[in-house]
Amino acid sequence: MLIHEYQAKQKLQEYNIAVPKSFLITKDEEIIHVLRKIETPTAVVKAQVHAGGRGKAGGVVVAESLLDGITAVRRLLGSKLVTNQTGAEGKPIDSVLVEEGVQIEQEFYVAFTINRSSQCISLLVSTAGGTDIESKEHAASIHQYDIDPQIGMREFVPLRVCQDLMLARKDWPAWIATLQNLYRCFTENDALLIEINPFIRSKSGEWIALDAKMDFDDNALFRHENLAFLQDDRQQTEPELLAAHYDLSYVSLDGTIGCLVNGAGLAMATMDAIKEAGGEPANFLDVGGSATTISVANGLDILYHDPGVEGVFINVFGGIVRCDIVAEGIIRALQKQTKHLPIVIRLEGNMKEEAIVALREYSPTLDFVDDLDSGATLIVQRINERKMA
Amino acid sequence: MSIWIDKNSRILVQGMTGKYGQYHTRMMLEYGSNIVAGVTPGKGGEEVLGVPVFDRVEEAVSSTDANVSIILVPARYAESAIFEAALAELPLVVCITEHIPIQDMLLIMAYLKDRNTRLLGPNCPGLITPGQCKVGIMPGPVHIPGPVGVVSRSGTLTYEVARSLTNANCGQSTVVGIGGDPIHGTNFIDVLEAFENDPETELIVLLGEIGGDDEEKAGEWLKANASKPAIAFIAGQTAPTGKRMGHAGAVIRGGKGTAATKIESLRDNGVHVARKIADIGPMAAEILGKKA
Repeated sequence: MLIHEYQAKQKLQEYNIAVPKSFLITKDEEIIHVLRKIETPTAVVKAQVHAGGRGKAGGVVVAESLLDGITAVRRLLGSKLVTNQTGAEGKPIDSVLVEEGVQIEQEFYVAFTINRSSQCISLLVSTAGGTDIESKEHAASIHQYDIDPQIGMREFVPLRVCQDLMLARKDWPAWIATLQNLYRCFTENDALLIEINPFIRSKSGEWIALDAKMDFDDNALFRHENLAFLQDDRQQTEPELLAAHYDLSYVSLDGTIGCLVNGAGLAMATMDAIKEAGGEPANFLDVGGSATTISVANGLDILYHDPGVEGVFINVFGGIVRCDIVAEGIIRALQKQTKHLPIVIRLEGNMKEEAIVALREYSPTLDFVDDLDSGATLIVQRINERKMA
Repeated sequence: MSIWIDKNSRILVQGMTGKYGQYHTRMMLEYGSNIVAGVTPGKGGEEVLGVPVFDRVEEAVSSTDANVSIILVPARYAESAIFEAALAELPLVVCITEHIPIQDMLLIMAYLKDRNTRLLGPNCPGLITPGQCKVGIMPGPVHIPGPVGVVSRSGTLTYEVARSLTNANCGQSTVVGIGGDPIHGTNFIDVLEAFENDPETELIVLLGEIGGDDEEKAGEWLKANASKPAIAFIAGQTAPTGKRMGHAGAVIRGGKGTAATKIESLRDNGVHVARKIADIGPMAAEILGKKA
């Protein structure tokens, strides 16, 4: 679960890490009152959206005057920000963070993350803060430390970081405390990522987190009630929220063929087969390995609700799955629909024959196939036929 | 032969008495798996499906000599269940449970490092040695015994591939699902090593997906160590960057973990890469036919 920058900065303050003085604006009538509280010559105006690449997309503006600030906030607030990570429709800007300008002396990159290959939490630091840290020329400058969960951030661990970064001895205590606090924030909140870029020393000698990104483990939210509260539903698309509500796994894509599949691996392979057949998948949708009447019906509802979907491919392979139960789900969902879309169904499992008889009886226009590839080919063909007609 | 489980495996089911646990216990029993005990705290002394139930794993192991555990408990109890099984020194623990918090898994993996317990999963379908023993939730009938060792990060995709192999008359020695989570107990290389050492396995099929670099490492391992041919398939060629595709571990980050780079790396290491799932059966038949 991603949270907004302003929320992440509140979290950092809970862990004694300094952030710039800042104010959050959510309403137009607050703009001037809030901006007048800024005591520095410049203010930094930052759109609050769940996506990176804000700076390049115009979502972060340095305002040199009060009027500049008003213009920038008013332009952003209530609009949508399209960055290289949001997709074409962008993310709504419901709030704007206004911060006092800070004079930067030196920038660093600091992040804690889950390292899947070494199966531990890793600390990443670099003196190339503030830049595109994932780019090739900077990747080499990143120091990585794999943290033993039994040792954690005992003093000698961050001390090594201070040496590697060639920090002045007088800065060591501040860095050690910061890294220990961040690690505590990471473990106590079941984080997957805490990234501070940049972490800076100001001209007046303070250590400040200028930006913050945090991602938390959805599977651990049951033990963090205060975190679940930070979730901002508006940063997700309507189908994504519907799927979350139904407890299904869904990702929006740009194509026209809706896919409903049981199991994540098979769902990905189904998308690939559609592409191979010359079509474009509209989504990834996994209704769970053991598809049920309800999960199939809810999944189909979501596909029909998406205006971009021009045809549907249902691919359920189980063996253990009972096909008659899946068929019931399909019929239950179709009974509610007024829109007519071509549907290709591939069912494999127990009671397959009975299921197909029931579905044919319900609607003679449904197509049935025996395997994944012919299903993908047929749905592409059906959509093309419709376009020609 | 086979790897890790066979008709002599003595299976313990953690979380046997719940609806889900009972269902899969029944399916495993019907397949012929030798289930010797169940564990559910507070239900010790009862009997379910003819199998004795114990409160704790240690009791179950000392009474029944169980040597494999399958975990079917809800996510928030799974960490404790895995620790309990490891403390009881079970050599193989198969965790089907999905949605275990990742930091719980980090603790478990640090603990297991110096132990002799192998954890398979979590978030996996388990494993099956066709015709002998099933410790998992996969459909038994799509499998037949034979010389193909299958290892996969997925569930239903694996069943699909097993069927493709079976249809091509290529039976399987053991089919192993390592799970879709980013932190898992057993990785591709552990399984590949076991297949390499299993005299009955003649061909290896590896089913990967986007995210991480396990497939790349597996390819390198195969090139350096394997005497047996291998076929691979990678799911998620159309997956976008930064989005988790169902499995917690299936996500492309910063251009890393794409299907294209995995496929290229596997090919460079001499692995046959299938473009479609349906091609796997015929490819296997051709390779095995050539050998004969």
